[in-house]
Amino acid sequence: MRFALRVNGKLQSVEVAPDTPLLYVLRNDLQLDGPKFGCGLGQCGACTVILQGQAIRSCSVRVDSIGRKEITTLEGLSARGHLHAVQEAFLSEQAAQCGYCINGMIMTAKAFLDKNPNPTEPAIRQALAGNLCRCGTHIEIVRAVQRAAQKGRPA
Amino acid sequence: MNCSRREFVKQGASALIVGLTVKNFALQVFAIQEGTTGGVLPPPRSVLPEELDSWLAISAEGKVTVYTGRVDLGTGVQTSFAQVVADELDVPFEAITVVMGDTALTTDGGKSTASSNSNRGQQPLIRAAAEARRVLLAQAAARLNAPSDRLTVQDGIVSVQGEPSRKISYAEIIGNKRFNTRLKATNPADNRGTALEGTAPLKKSNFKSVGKSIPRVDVPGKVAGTWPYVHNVRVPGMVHGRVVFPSGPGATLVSVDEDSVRNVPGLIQVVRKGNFLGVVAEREEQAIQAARQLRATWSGGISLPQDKYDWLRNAKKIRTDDMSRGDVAAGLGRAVKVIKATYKTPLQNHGMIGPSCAVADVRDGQATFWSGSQWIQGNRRDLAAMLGLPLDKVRGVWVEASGSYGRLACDDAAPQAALLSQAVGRPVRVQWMRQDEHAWAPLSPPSVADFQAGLDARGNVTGFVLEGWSPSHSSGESGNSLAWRLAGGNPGWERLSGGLGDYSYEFENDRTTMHYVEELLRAIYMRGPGSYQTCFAVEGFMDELAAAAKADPIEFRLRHLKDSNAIAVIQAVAKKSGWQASPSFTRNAGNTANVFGRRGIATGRGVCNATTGRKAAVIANVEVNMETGKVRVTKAVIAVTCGRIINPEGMRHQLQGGLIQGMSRSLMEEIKHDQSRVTDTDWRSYPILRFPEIPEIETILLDQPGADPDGVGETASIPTAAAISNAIFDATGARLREIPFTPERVKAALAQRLSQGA
Repeated sequence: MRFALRVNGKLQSVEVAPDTPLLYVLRNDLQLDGPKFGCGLGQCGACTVILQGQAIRSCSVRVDSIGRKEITTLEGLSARGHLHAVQEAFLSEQAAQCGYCINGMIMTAKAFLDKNPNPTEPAIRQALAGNLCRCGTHIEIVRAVQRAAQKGRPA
Repeated sequence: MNCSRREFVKQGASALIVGLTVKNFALQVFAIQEGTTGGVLPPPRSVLPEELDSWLAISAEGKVTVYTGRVDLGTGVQTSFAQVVADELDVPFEAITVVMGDTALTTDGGKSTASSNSNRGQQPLIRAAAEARRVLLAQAAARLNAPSDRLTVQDGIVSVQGEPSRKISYAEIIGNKRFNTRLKATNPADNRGTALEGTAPLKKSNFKSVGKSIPRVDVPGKVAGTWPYVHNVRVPGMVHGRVVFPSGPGATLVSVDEDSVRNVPGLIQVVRKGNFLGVVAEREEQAIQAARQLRATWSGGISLPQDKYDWLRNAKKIRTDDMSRGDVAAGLGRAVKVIKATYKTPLQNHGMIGPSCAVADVRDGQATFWSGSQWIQGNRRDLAAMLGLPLDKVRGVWVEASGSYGRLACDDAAPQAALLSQAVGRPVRVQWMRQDEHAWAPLSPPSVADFQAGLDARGNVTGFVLEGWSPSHSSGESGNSLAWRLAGGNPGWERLSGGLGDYSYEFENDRTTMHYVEELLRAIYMRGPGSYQTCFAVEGFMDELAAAAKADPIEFRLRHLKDSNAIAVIQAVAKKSGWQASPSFTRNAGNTANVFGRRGIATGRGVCNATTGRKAAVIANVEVNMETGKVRVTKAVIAVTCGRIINPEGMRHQLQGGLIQGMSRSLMEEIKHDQSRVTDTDWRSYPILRFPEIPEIETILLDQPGADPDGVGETASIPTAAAISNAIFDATGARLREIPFTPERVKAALAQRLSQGA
């Protein structure tokens, strides 16, 4: 079936089976490698993308459920070659080791900060509780989210 | 990723050379030689370790390319390798590009591990750089007509001291030309990679890059989503494969009903070879559907024991090592108190967040594969032997995987992709599903250790006996990929590793007996082979001895230590954490009330001294919920000394990461199985530590600028478990002798403690 998806501000047409998980469409048809396959079960968060403001698990969402909603992937955050403030903060804190989970961390943090621009540290930890990191980069990641929040705060 | 020539150029200093097209391997190498790498020199003429050109090249623009068979496991060694070479050559850090793990371009680096990359991985690079510098200075001396001892180098420009106008750059001397210099190379062991002899490193001080927290070259791409992972490799004509795993380890494939997948769109082929079964389809989700839908009948399989620790004691022994000092029998004989205990560590999963993945193209009598292997040359050797191809017809290209912590010492996905590609005549990408990675990855094996020790009247150790049983991980490593096992005919190359027994205490009388036994399930140790297990056991038992001696746990340890580094790290953590000296479970009256009233939270602190070559110590603070048995680590302090520090921030991140991973393993991780298979197949059944449970961590780096650098990738995980179990004892008086310290196990230990009374 043909689907028209709004991805990172562009309308994209794909020809796939309706029950195809969004993740495979993003990675294999649109070659957007930001979202990663981690579990296919919605348990780890590596595949997170933002759908109409909500951080969702693209491995567990069927392509035919998206409709006209706007999808933002990690690639879509960095506009015109400039990293988004959350990405900049992750870079400043060197918040990546193997980096496989980092897509999910950044996308979850972005959606969270959009709604909670001034979070406490426990709130940040709670917001990221559903995202798994095996290298143990948690401390740097929390610092990065705090840094991004401070940057976004009006002076 | 689709790597075009331009993209290589764009990636600049962090460029990874990943093949262009796959069809013609000779053409591909040629294409790279033509200079597709953008300012980076063509690859070395050979990959012989005895040739300087195999290690290092300098372009006409002064760019330096370093070639190493070692690969990055997410710890940032691309950056630290560039730092050490930059200083040895006296060129700017930015001038260096590190090319890793391509069998057509790099020498056999041996198996990459998080720690050995920083010693055995760096050694030949520093030596090659020192030799290059020597050759360059000799040529500069001739060209500038000045004695070489009057020359000085800055940023790749050689000049005569005091006459800065008499100068020549490295690029002018050798740019785009070969060194044609021979080195002396040794290969100390099968999988450790080459060591170089010859010109000793010149740099002992005045480092410009070394010792600085230079930001990692891979992090920008990782936060932008452009970093190449093996999961992103796409080659022309590539199709998707999935493996249909047996009903359990050791099962035999009886029959396959191909009709069961006839209706799957895009299906290309069902591939069967011995007990290896897989499907290939045009699209990934089609391959997944076919693998799920394919009806196959399996029979038999191995029988897993109910008590793996009993099983270990009685398992077939591959080798027993016995080491002793003094007279243990006499030592125990004069003890006033003899203590015995048994410590156990479970089966654990390395838990790669991204499951195994590889692409292989096997056609026309040659093969190319892209893999996240920790030892690309080892995988290449296996793949060639499995396919019956000459080694020089097989090229392995490493592309970074998800952090693997030992698991990708033997990549399973590449040989599987190769079997599927051979069958369909097209490049095939294989990615494991989550349940495959949890159930079929080689697991970190279990261990059991029996201790016996005597104390004299002053509380000193008169004799110390350790007898341990643990599987070697030979069969999980190279030579034993799952595909090769299932397809039949793998040789099962033997290599012993992961034994228990190394500790830094110096007792007058001691004996260590280590039994390497056969594996229970396919085994590869996780971060700290044998050391994580030994450290937990020895340091838990030492804490028991300290308690029996009514001594402060730190004072008791220091009594039996002579190594100045081991003493230094313990003293450092004690000072930083504000350690109050006293025997454990005696300081806090509130704890005693809580423990015996079985209510509230009991708090404690525990110390652990790492037992490996690298000296590290941890103090952990815990809270134990007396009703639920839940343990929370509230704070951990770690001190480490590991020679010269290359990148302090990088090291700090490794230590934090290792501690967090070690805490997760110690508090919650144990693979469960039934009689025939692993039953924990996802992150719900096998949980790991999450953000809300991460403690405050303080790191103390004790630099030794004069000593050779050593790795810390494994160091922090090793002393975590006993620091926690000793803190639980301090809080509650209950001793945890089996990992993980789950609430159920803590409650059982508390019940046992209470039954003994106050």
